Order: sequence, then structure tokens, then C-alpha cells
Amino acid sequence: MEIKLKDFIKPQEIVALVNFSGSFHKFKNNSKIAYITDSLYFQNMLVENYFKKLISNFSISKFQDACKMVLLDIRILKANLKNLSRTEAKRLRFVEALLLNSETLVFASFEKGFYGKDQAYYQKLLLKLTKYGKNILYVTNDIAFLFGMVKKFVLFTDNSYEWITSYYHPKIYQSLEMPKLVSYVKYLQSQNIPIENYIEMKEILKALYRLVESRKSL
Amino acid sequence: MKKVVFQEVGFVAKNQVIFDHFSFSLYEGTNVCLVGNVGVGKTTLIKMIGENFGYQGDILKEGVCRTILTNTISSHVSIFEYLHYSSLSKVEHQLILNYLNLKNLSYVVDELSVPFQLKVMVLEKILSKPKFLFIDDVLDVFSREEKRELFDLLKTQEITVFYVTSNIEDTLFFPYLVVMGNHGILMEGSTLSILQEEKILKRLGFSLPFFVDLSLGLKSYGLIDQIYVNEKELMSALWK
Repeated sequence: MEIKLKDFIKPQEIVALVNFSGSFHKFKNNSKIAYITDSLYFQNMLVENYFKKLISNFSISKFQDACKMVLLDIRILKANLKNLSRTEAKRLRFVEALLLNSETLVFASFEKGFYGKDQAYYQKLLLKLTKYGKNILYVTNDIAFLFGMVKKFVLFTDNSYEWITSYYHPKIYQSLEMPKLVSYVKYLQSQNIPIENYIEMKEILKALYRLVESRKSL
Repeated sequence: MKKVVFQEVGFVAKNQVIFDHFSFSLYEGTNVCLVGNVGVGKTTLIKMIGENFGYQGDILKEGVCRTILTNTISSHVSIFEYLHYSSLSKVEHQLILNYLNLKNLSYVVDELSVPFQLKVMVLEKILSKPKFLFIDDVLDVFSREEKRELFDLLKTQEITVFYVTSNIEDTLFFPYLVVMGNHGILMEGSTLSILQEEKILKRLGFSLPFFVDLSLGLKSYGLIDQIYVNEKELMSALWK
């Protein structure tokens, strides 16, 4: 099956590609499209020199702004690319995409290695970027990370793909691990507890409160 | 009882203190999970077990220690050769075949899927009969069931695990939790008691495991009075 990424790009939206096995590590970033992968940099070169080579009118102040936006310490400019940690490398690729002003940003498992607070920040940042006109493709198998951020998925199976709009679509979990929240709701439903397909903790809490209290009052 | 003791361990990189006065004892039989934010030196701690690259303080090791720092193998040989299968006992053969669930060990290890490579690597470590296994944050290629299977296997082999992770759900596999930050240990204790320190953990940037978060919410609604970590227990507590 030949796949063209442009088939999945929706203007100013985030589309998730799940169970996608392609790799973007060898692709180069440009003003049309940028790939924010989790691969390390292997060049033996200072970050500053790398960016001066990549961007003809490289500006330190713009670099600083981009670093601030992706939660990266500006001192990275004086670091060697080959010594960066995986999370630093990911953040730096994000900076690359912002400085190149790429129309489409392709993220590959960007969330891995970040904790809850940072993950929540990046979710908000990505949504904000779509409001600034960016198109985003997000490749991950971590469905829980997509909650609240993505409304359209492309689910890949062996030889085909399918557009999906529900986190509870059974096909997603034939090949991927179910988030705890979804599996808990499904468990309750299997026990004949009338609860809806929620994707937020506060909604589940309120629903459980209503259900337990209504049973007490019977 | 054997143990591994970190005594006042400190590490400075590029004139920056990563951690100092890190003291912790890992006792045989008690698996420990360590969480900490990016850059607090979690991987460095695991690397210290394998080699001394100029850290301060001491690490006392009673018994064989092994580390897992990556989930891929770069060796282009068969599983059979990689694990020196022909020189192993029948019990070890069975262990390998059961865990890999394969009949044919002629597959080349660096051509296997990443989860399979990790399984082969785990077996290699087990076969060296360590008392302690230090694992860096590399199990994200495993499903929850595969993680459970691994920890069960290590338990049956009487190997004590020290596991570093950024996946808060994984902490529930362990009875003891250490939270690292500000150049050292911030909190340690039984996992469930530490996870109830919601405010501190959230201030540090951690989310809570789903069932802990849900239980705390239900507690605040007055529906339950303790933390439950699985759906069945929570179900019977809610509809008792």
C-alpha cells in the first residue's frame, strides 16, 4: 500500500496516525513540512553552527523565542548535537520546525519521555499552532495522549487504513493498547453500568457519583 | 539479605551538579521504581552500576548486578548464538522457549521487532544469574501485559529489580517508590502512600496513575475511603 502523507493533512487541524509503522528519520525538514521525530542527532557539531547552516538568516532572538515555546533551555545553543538527550533532541527538532515556519508539522511519538505537566503543555501548544495556521499530523500509539487534542484518526491495519472519529471505536484496540480510562468505562458497561463513552476523568467521576447516589435512593 | 547501597553519591557534568549526596539501599527481594523529571540523573544512576565514570561517593554491590539501558541489540547473529543456547541447561532452554514463545531460534536478533529484541536482551541478563537488575526507561515498547509478564518472570528467577521510568502507570507494578528531584531523593516509601501525595507530585509535573487519580476523586466525593488499583476492587467498593 502506497501512502502519501498529504492525503491525511487537514488544514489547521491535528490528525492522528495510529498503528502507523512508517519512519521519518531520513526525511529533511523544509518550509513545507517538518518532521519532529525521536531520533538523536549524530552530527559532531555545535547546535548554533547547525542552525546557522540550516537557516540563512538565523536569528538568536527568534531561536530564543522558539526555545521558550518548546520548553528548551537556550543554553543548548552551545551544546554539541551528538551529546543531546532524546528529549532535548525532540525539542530541538520542534524548534527547527518553528524556525523554518513549516506549513505542516509531523510529530512521531513526541510525547514519549515527557511527564504529565509537559505533555499537557505540548497538547495545548499543538492546538494553539493549528490556530496559527499550522497543519499537524501526529503519529502515536498512545491514545490517552490524544484525548482532548485530536478528533480525527487514521487507523492503519496491514494493508489499508480507515478514518475514525471515536476513541471508543473497537477497531483501534484490536492492534493497540486501550487507555486505562477507556478500558475502565468498557468494564463498567460490561457490568451493565449505564455509563457513556467519556474521555475525561471529571466526567467519569460525576457519572459515577450520580449512578451510586441514584442506586442508594432506590 | 544482599543489597546494593548508594552512599552519598554525587555527579557533576559540565560544571553542573546533576545530583549530590544520593543515598539509597536496594534490598534483595524488594523491587523499587524510581521516577524523576528529565535531567535529574536517572539514567546516570543506572550507568553508574555498570561503570565508574568519575562520580563521587560509593556504590557497594553485594551480588551480581546487571543493567538494561537500551531496548535494541546491534548484534547480527541468531537468537541461538546470541544466548549461547547450545551451552545451556535444559531448564534454561525451557525458560527461553517459554518466554519467547518460539520454536525456532534461528532469527537474527537485530532484525527482530524491538519488543522481541528487548525480550532476548532480558533473557541474556537472566542467564548471567544476577541478584539485581537495573532497568532504564526502555520498557515503553512493551504492553502492560508484557511488562507484567517480565516482572513476574524476574520474580520467579529471584532477581530484584530497580526500575527507572517516566510512565507513572508503571509505578503500580512496584511495592516501593522513589521520587527524585532537586539533586536527590524528594520522597520514598510504599508506592500507594507516595502516590497519595497528589499535590507534591502534581507540582513536580507528574500525573497520577489512572486508578489512583480516580480513587482520590471518588474519595473526595465521599464514595470510597481508600485507594483501589483495579476495576474489580473499585467496582465492589462502589456498589457494596
